[in-house]
Amino acid sequence: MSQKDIKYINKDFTSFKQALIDYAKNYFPNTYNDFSDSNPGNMFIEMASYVGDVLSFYIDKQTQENFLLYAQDKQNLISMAYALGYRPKVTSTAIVNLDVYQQLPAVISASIASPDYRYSLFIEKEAKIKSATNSNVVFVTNDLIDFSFSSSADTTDISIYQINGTTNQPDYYLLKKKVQALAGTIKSSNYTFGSPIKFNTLTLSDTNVIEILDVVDSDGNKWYEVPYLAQSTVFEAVKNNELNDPFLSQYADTTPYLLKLNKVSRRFVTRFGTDNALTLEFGSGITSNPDEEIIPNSDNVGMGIVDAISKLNTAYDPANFLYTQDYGLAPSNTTLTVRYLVGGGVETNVPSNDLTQVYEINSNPVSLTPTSLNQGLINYVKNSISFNNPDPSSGGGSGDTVEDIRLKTIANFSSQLRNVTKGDHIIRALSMPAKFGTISKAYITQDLSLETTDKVQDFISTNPLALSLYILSYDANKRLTTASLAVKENLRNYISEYRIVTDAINIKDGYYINIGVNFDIIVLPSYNSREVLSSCLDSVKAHFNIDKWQINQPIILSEIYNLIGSVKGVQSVIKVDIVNKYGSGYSQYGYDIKGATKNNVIYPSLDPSVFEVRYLDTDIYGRVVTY
Amino acid sequence: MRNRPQYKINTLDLNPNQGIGIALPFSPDTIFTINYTTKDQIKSNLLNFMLTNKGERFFNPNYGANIRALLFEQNTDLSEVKSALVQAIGMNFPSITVNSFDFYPEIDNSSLKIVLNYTVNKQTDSLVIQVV
Repeated sequence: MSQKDIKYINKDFTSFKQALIDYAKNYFPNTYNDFSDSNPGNMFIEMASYVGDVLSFYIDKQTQENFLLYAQDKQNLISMAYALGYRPKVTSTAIVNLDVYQQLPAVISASIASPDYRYSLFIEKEAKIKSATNSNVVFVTNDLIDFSFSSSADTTDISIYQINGTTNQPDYYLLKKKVQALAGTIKSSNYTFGSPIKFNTLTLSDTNVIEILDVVDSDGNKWYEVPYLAQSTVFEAVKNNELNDPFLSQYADTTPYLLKLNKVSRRFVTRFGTDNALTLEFGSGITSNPDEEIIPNSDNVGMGIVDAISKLNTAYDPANFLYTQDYGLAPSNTTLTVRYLVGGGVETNVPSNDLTQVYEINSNPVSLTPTSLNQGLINYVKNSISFNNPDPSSGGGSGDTVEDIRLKTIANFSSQLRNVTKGDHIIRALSMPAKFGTISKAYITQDLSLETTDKVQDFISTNPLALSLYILSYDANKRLTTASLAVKENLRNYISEYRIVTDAINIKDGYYINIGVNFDIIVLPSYNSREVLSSCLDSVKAHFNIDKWQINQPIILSEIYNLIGSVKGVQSVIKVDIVNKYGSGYSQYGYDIKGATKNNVIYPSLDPSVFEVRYLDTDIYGRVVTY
Repeated sequence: MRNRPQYKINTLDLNPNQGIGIALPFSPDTIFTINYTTKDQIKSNLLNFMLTNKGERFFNPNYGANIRALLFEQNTDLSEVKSALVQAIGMNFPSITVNSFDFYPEIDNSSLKIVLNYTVNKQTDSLVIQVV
């Protein structure tokens, strides 16, 4: 029989049916001619069309489910989200910033009262605070509170709480700190493992898990959560003290924690399923031998093959790599205790001033010799701890919907946790948690440093592919300062996880140029000169708020003229002078402002630098002049 | 001229070797047998139509005589059932003329025999259906 013409573009019932009728008309004209609805043969044509339509639908559906933009099935979207690095949420819990208060007794020395910091407390993380209006809502702090420590990123406000009527001196001071807390309940479950099984899993029974707090086995070993099992390193914060780092501990006042990268073999990943249950998956390592003895090398690959004359054409099983610890250890003959946070939901969005009920806290004096302290006073200050939320909590709600997962995955995909662009490097440096030191300004560029006599240093500095990351930090009063070695060390560890392996990054100190602003204005006749001048000063202060300034940002004088000129009551701006301030209390580097001014724009130096009005209250000076 | 007999012949009937469609009921041996006259095919089609209930055909939910539903309505009035069936046949088979439509309830067998007498192409035929 000659080849028959078959159409492949039919997709739905009607087109399939018509194609089959046409086919019968063309190729079976003497066998079948009645194509009315009542003909039994038509029934079979319609059944075939129905099957074709259904198959087409499933093919279309399966194709659609392969694309993040079009997939509808939640399980498929969850799988794609994990593959692209986004971790879906099954519940959203509220976050709030809490004010934490502690009373501190005064100590009088030379007739002057001052806070007795020996009685300052630290409150361990996971302190629990209940809502006053809904006792089912409990917030858990996610950081420890150290009242003895204060920095620009973690300030401790001090005020007088009680004055002695006799001596007229303070009896107690009130310390206030801020801490972030999130709503949820801590739960714990035990899971027993026997013989090791590669990529073993366990599933938590709760369906509203917010996060895994920790996993510890019966031998006390900690198991770490990683984004994917191939990642063998995790960040860990260690207290910056002499014990942990004798050299960097000198910077403990500005850098209370050191960031360490730990290589861990006990690790796991977490995955939510469609039933919202969280599954923990462990590694494949089922041997306690170190990796080095198992990873194939030219000496041990092929060992045990006795019948091969040559190894040139021998096939090796690459799956043998899985028997190493490369994907982490599988738990064996142990019991894992998993602590996790559950909860969330819209009811966790509590109003302001609602989180005041201390439910469970663990506090102790910071003093290394607490036995020398008055126990009664210790109990008093412990009982004085109180919490409050000045702002409502927010963020509580249901978990990610199908559309949420899609959009958040697309957004997450663009970041990829990798530093590639200039913006990636700057944002990553600025996002280092404050407890590892504050990076206030960051700027990255490709430059060649001054040549040095040190050959190694010279090679590093003149590496044409190296990037220079200029950073500045804040001091306790939120004024720019160079970052300490501890901060730089933490930053080095921090960005190493996100850096592309071929990138070389030199972390360098940025420069800050301190300036003062002097301006003269004429005020409209019907306005109060003092009020207008005050408004002008406020405007200029807001303009030079250090949060708004970045490295290599020029000062555009016309902007300042416009800023002052737009204040209500200002008739004209006579002059705006920018003066350099350096020396005591200021930057050690002077700067030729006049020489750097071109066309009413003051350019920063060639070395990356940022302009700073260091003392906003005294370095900005305004005058009202008359004709 | 006036008294000259008229004949209606479907062109498909002119070639006795040309198959029209599939016959009902199916053959126990070959399953599919072919009708070679439109008269036989219409009988098969009518049987198919009468035994089909509405909603049974894909993408054609209004097709079928719906006998089962009509018969097992409460307080079934057979005259109403008859008129509904005659109307449905008229709509689906415009080429046939219903001569009679009779129901014979067989209470002992819990069944109903339907006898449809009709004319197609000037030829009379009848269809007997037993509904249990």
